Amino acid sequence: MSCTNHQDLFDEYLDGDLGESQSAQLLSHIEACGACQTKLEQLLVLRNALRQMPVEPARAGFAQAALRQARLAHAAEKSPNPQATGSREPFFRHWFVAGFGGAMAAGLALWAVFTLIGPVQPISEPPMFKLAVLETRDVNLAINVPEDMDGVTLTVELPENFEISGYHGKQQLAWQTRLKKGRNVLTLPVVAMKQGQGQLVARVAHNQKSKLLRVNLQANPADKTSLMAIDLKA
Amino acid sequence: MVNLWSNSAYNKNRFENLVSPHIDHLYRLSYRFTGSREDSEDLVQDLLVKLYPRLEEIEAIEKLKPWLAQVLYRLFIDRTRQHKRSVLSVVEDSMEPDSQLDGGAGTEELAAGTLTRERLQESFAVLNEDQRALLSLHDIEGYTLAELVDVLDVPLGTLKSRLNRSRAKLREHLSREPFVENQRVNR
Repeated sequence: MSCTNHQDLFDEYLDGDLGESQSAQLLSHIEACGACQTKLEQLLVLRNALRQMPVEPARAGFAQAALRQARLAHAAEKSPNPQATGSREPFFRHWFVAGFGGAMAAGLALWAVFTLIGPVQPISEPPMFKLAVLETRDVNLAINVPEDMDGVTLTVELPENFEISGYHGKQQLAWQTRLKKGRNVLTLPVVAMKQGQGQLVARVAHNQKSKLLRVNLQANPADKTSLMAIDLKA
Repeated sequence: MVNLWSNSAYNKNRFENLVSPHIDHLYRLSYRFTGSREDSEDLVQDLLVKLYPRLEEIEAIEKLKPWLAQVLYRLFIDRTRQHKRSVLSVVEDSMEPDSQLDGGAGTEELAAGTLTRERLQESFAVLNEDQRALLSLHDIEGYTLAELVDVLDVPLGTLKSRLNRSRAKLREHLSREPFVENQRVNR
């Protein structure tokens, strides 16, 4: 067999997928052939290098947060109250849903609109979003951008009586993402932890320009009738 | 009478006991597939949300690790394809080589032990999602061919040829002239 024929078997040999006699024949050739020896060493170097490619660790507490989100999403799906639906979508959805549009406000890098379970409307004053204590509802933020943007920083700040589902005790979350030209929708599953009002502030920053988006939140007392019904079932 | 609260807590513990030991591995695999922390967290979280209602099915799985890898892989491929459709974007695939460069720069680097991590990552990122996933599972994370026949649900012969094509593409990209090395440019 030629060197090329032998080299064609290298991957199978490294995979442990070559029979004993073929392996022995291959090794015997390699011992006598410097070129093939070098080729095999190169493949080994490449495989080792692949295995050593670094993995950036997940954020601290990610596993617990993800498990909690899975549980909440399941509970929300089974909830008898159709309004108390938690999002099945993961929070760190930075593969935004891209839509159509692309209008720009004069002088601004970003033109932002909110959609609150309803039609798209330009921001005039912060919309009010009401939910019951312990209820999870999606707040959808729609961000229109005139072109694809990489390295966009999104920051979400929450009043102390509200949380994002799956991120217990965190009042500020920030992450980097990319936006596609047109309309990008970010879904935030907001949970009311206790009664009160506050403002959710989302900041979209790109290339030293930024835009603030605000939503007023109001958490009302939980519906005692429905709680009673759940108690009775339990 | 069924106690919903206790039952819910019981299910939570059963699910967490089964899945928690695998989350690190799933995250690592996701990172190999996607190349970013955000996408990996997103993918794993999506996976857990989808798996939670399938508790009884999961309990019946004999070898959970490859099964989870299979579900993760399918989710990754589905999402990548959906994403491509939804954003109407084209992810540039590797350009075909003008010619095969036997003994090219990448080969020299391998021989000289100077292959940089950045260069390898760049070449790995050029692979399409199927190829990246396949090399991640087999060459990096050590899944055997026999396991991958089940995970990827393809015949062994097909698997081998896909693996060979993926490796060839990676090596071919590594064999190209490094973009930043001006001294290699012919004048």
